[in-house]
Amino acid sequence: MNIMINGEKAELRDTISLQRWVEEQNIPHTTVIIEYNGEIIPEERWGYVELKQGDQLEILKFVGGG
Amino acid sequence: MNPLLECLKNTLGEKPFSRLTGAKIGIAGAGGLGSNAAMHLVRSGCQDLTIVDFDRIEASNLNRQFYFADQVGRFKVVALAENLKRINPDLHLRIETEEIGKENIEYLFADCDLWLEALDRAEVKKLFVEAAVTLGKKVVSASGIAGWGNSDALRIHQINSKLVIVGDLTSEVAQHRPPMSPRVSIAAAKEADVVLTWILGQGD
Repeated sequence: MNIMINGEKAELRDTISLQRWVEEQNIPHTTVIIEYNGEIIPEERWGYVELKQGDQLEILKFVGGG
Repeated sequence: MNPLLECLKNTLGEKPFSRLTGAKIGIAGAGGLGSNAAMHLVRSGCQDLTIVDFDRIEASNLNRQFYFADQVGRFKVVALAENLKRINPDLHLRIETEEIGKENIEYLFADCDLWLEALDRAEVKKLFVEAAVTLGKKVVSASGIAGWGNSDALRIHQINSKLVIVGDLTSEVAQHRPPMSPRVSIAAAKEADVVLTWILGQGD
């Protein structure tokens, strides 16, 4: 199945939770927020989101400095 | 009514003025972003601010933060309260010297309607923004503000109706890319302007 990640097409082999996908992609989870189909999903809910065909993810990474 | 507020009320009109004075704003961090954003908000008539930072002023902060040489060593929020009250003596400020973490964000900021993220560490920025999302608060955050030059890249990223991120999203503080006053101040001013827009609506 295909999903969109930051505007680019990506293919997933199986159904997978957002949590597991973040782990597999080695995304630095402590510094990113994720928008899933237009809604920001806090990290504690990543495990409850099953990625499916046509989903759109935006990964926003924070960098330090204030 | 003090002279600042009197002038603002005349300039803006009664209704916008009372929206500004009534808005409850929470500022997480009183460093380069937080101290300067607070200054802009207070000059704009915001009266009800919660400001949280556990840090003390160091000499290295004076290159960009809204503090003065004779305030080095003091708690940032205490010095900031003094500086802000020199602009508006009638401010209603709540200041806390706590380190912001996952466990205290809600307790510190639940009373605030509009949240302004002005923290240093990327990990805590994320926690703060996610807490705002969970509680349904509007939040403006900043990411990618270090260094100098190309300041037009410090853009407003409207993620959705409740989340805005200001910055170029990439310029992290590093040895060769320290935070400097112009870019930090621009980002702080833009964060403050996002808050004003939430309160007053889009300007012309």
